[in-house]
Amino acid sequence: MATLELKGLTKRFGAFTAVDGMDLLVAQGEMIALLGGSGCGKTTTLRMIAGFTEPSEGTILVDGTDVGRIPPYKRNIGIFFQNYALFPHMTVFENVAFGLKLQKCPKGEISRRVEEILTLVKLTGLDRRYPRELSGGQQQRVALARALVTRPSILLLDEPLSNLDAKLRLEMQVEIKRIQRELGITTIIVTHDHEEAVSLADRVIVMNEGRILQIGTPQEIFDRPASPFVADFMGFSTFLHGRAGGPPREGKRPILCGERTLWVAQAAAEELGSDEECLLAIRSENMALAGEPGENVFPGRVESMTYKGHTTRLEVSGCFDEPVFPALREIPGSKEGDEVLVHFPCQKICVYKAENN
Amino acid sequence: MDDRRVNWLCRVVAGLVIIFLVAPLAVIVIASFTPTALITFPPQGFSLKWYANVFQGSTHFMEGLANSLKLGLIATGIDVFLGVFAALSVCRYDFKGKNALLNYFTSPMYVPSVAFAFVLLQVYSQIGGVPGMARLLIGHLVIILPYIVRNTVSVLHVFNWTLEDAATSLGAGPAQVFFRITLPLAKPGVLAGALLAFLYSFDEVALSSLLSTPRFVTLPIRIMNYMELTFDPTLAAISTLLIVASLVLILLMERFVGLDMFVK
Amino acid sequence: MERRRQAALLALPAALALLVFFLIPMGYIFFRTVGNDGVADFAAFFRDPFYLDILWTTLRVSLISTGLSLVLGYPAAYYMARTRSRVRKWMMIVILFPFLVSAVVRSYGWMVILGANGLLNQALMALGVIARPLKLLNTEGAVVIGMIHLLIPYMILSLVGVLQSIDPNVEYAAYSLGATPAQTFRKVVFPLSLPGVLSGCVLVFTMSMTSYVTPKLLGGSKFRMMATMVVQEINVNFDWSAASAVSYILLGVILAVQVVIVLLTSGYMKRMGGGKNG
Repeated sequence: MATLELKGLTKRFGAFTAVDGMDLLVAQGEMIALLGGSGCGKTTTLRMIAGFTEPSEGTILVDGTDVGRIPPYKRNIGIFFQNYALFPHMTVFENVAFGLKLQKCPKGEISRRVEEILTLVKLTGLDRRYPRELSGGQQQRVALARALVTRPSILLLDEPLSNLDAKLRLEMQVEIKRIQRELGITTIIVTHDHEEAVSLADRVIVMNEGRILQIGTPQEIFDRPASPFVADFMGFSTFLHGRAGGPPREGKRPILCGERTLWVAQAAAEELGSDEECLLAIRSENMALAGEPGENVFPGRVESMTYKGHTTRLEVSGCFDEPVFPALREIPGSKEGDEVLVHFPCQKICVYKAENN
Repeated sequence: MDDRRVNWLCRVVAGLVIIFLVAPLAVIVIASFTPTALITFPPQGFSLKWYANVFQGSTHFMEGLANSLKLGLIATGIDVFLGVFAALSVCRYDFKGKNALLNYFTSPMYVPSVAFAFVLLQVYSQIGGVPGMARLLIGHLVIILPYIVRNTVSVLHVFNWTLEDAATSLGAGPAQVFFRITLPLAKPGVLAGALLAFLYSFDEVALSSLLSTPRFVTLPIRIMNYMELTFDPTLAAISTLLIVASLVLILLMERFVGLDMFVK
Repeated sequence: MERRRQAALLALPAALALLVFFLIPMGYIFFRTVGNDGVADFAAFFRDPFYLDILWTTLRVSLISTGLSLVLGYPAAYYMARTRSRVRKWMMIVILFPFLVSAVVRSYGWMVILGANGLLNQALMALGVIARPLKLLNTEGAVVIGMIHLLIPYMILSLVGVLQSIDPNVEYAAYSLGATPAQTFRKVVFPLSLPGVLSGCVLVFTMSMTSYVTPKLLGGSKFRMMATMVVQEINVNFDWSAASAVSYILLGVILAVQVVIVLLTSGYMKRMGGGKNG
């Protein structure tokens, strides 16, 4: 249980900069998600915190103490690897007890604590199995138990859910959250999946090319991405080019997209000068079909429909120069080729200056 | 990280091992250019006369080389056929006892070549009239077969057999499937096996010591015989030629098939 | 059935060649030897201190060579398995290159270095460390050195394979749980590399037990190992019954070692079999 602070953390591999001057303060007991695509530097950051990779520049402070000179085996940092990295030649019990044995815990205490943690991750009765005799989800929970049992001051999770099927993933999300809360352990989770990040973390950090693009609560990141890049990464599907036009009215500003005028929230377009080029982004599930014309309602033609289970995703052309992709909860009566009216709720539209792109 | 100390130790040992492995070869190459019969370090001057000596008929080195090459190439050539078919039979089909069959194909590996040579010697003395080259060829055919089988199997073991089905579904006949699909993909294993087999045959001494007749003597035996009579740098010269040939071979292998085939 | 026939057809040439040229001669001579009072020859071998000494020398040289190859080869293989691919490629070349050079040539190299007028003696005398040449060649030490030189590539190649297959994250996991590098090696890396250690040791041990060139060239005429003894009995002493006793005992020792290793390790290998490394 500790605070973690990164100051100007940088890692270069030859000419390539994997992590570029990263600053971050993680509070005690907080759960942080590092979110980004492959090669964004999130895993390198994790490895530097764990002590496996030496930073080129910058410092890592745990509870205010620089840990740069401390070897990984003295840092007391629990780490969960994406591929679990269980010891294949040891049983579940031996895997989990490994760290405790090294701490020279008495035998009785070892078995008590191993049993405790195996109960916590719901793995009782499997302690004599070898890793290869377990399912993926079970292996994952062993890895989690192994990282937690030594009561590390910081827990690092590298893509903890990426190898699991959808159902197990949901279960484990709840599980990890519960265990983390229960133990109150400072946690950093690395992931490329925005849904995983927003559902697990107290704060989400979006990274690209070794730099932090945005830090915020899941809500902020999910609803108000700081840039079109983040928006794209957070699953925004529809992007429209436009230009600021006319004076604001009733807390809304008009944006000219080709022939049409789209009203956006004044607050969202604060930084936009008059006549300035801009880029609008909107999530699929925030668009809807409308029954009659009105503000921010435009006609278009259904090009394709993809049934996705709980939603149906449409590709609609003609509303603007760019196609739009509404996702509808109820199956629409219309079919491919039909004319429809699409509503773009003005509060749900994100506005970016065009040069940000 | 503290891992560095481990890394450092490993690096030093790796360096020492490399020096240890290369040193005798480097010494030979340097020695081959000494002008004096007694090899001194550093060499007093420079001379190519020992190389001229290598090619003189009296050393019989060239004749030995021709014999060794002939023996190695014929034995390897025949065994590539036998070995690749054998490997295919145990990898491509599923039947009871396929492991036993594989063990049978590789069993000569577990028999000391000296013991096998002696067995052949006794058989030949019973039959009589087996000519010089055939005496060795039969022995070599047996002892190098496991290398080809094992290396081919190691590739076919991880072979994606659905590729054959795919090719067949596209209209390829069995022969086309074999030559266009299976063989090209198994090539690294076959080549590595053939190379090891050839080198084993080329370097083989125990069999040759017991079985060769004065009319058919291989290069390693020629070198050993020469060594017993005269210990001059002619030996360094012929050795250098063999070293250079090996170096060229390994670089070609690295270039065209990669060396990972040799990692078990 | 069609596929069975294909398999049989493919296997037939090699199977037949081995049968005619290998199995039948081996069996025929074995039974003939046993029939011709061969058992008495075996008994004589084990009663004669001269032969027992040769067997012991062969075992000793092989064990020492195997042990040293492992101790020196392991760190080198570990470094190769974990280093960047470019360095690894060059190390592969340097390790495989001597491996391709004839054993006769490699022994000759050591003769030039270790001989009475060899490089090492010249250097030591030039430095004034010794006044007269040391006897380095034609010793057991020279044979062990030559043997390691001959066989350490086999050891390294066996080890690199398994070490590469060990997920580096498993080592990092051990560190993160508080294991020092030494503890990580003892409790994680070494146990996981055991299959390679074993196959490497068996290979090196077997090859050094049966090696002929190295003991003959570096050990001198008075140094005898099992393989050189067989040839000596035949070519020098013309004593075929002694030769067959020595060669079958050598074969027996090697097969015994193989069987023991297989029996000892089958349990462990089964447990590790298909083990998920990552």
